[in-house]
Amino acid sequence: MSTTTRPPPSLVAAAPLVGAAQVASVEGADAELDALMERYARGEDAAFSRLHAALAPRVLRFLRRLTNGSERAADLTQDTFLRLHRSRGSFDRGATVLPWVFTIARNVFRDDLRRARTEATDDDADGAIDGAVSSAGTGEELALAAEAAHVVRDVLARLPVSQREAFVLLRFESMSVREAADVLDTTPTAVKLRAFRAYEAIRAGLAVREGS
Amino acid sequence: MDIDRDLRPLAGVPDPWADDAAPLPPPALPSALPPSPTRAQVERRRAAAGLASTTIVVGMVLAMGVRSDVHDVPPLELALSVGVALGAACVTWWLAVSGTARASALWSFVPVALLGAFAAASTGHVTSPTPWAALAMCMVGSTMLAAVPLALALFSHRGAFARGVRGRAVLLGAAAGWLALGGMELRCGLGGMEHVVFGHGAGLAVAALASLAAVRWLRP
Repeated sequence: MSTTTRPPPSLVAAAPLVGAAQVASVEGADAELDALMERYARGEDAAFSRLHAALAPRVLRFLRRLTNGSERAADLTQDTFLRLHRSRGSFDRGATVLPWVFTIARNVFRDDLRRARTEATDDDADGAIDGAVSSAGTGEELALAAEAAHVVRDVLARLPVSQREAFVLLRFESMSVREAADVLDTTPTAVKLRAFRAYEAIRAGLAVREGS
Repeated sequence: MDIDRDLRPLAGVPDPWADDAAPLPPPALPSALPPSPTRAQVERRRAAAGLASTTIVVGMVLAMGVRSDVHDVPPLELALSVGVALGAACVTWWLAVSGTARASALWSFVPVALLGAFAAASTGHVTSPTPWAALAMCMVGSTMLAAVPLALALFSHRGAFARGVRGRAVLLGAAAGWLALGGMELRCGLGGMEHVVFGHGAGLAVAALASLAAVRWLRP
């Protein structure tokens, strides 16, 4: 694994994952979510709607990325919240809710994969990518951004599920390596390796595009 | 290789769904949710399952018949061997429920180590002219004794383990197996390391494997 290779230009113009101010507000929001889940586990049914409102968009986004933009992500999100509801009594005191919910979502995704391999339609994915690049600029910039997004989506779809999960959690969900390891039920080192391999595959895919 | 440094460029990978995910309306709140137990109910259910398991194992031993040398064995020795098995069941269950996710796989070896120590310390008062037949009988007996506690443990821990689920499943099954082993101490007076490990401990191994096979039941 070389550290001297340069990433293609598409990867260099990078925005930081999360700013320092954002981290503080995210931590505060997470603590509020933990308190909500604690109340729900104790039997306060009214907390569920607030939990759902706060968590559903994140879970949906996570599942859309894992399923490569499939419309099925909405059903999987519903399934995730049903499982959360059924298992609320097993939520550990003092635990953090986000990794727990993402673990459930990941289990739902894995169970769905077992039932039928993910088969995202081109229509779904194209629509998503068109939306992703709509604010990128005009003309050539727009075309390049769309092409890069296509490559990332295609490479992610071809990656082993374990690498895709690690990459999505670290890159798109802004989780720490430790949190991602909790969600994926593995070690931080394994998470880093999986994410790095995914990154290498994406980098290679973008390099091929830029070379052609 | 410096993976931490290598992971830094991750931030530069464009997100194909960056603008797509935000405007999506989240799925509607599920209507007509089925009833689900609160934490207090779950804890009561687990306590009841533990109590019922112990009672049923004792009942099954009494129904099958206690060991023939029960009047010759010092009561303290008998109480100690049953007590150690019960204690091991409690510790193993506690590790399954409260152990850290990453440690659970490591902890799953604890029941085996405990079993070895238990067998080495156990003293048999009876010998059998047909040791292989006695061994087979005890394997069947301990497996039967472990069946009900395992079923109750699986029922009361449905969807309980989000992380480290395989290790926790093994520990949960082993806890049921330890209850069965405690029952076998009341049921059979045969001693010897091999007989205790493979005969009385069979239920522990079978229950641990059966619990591992039911891992999807234990995951939320």
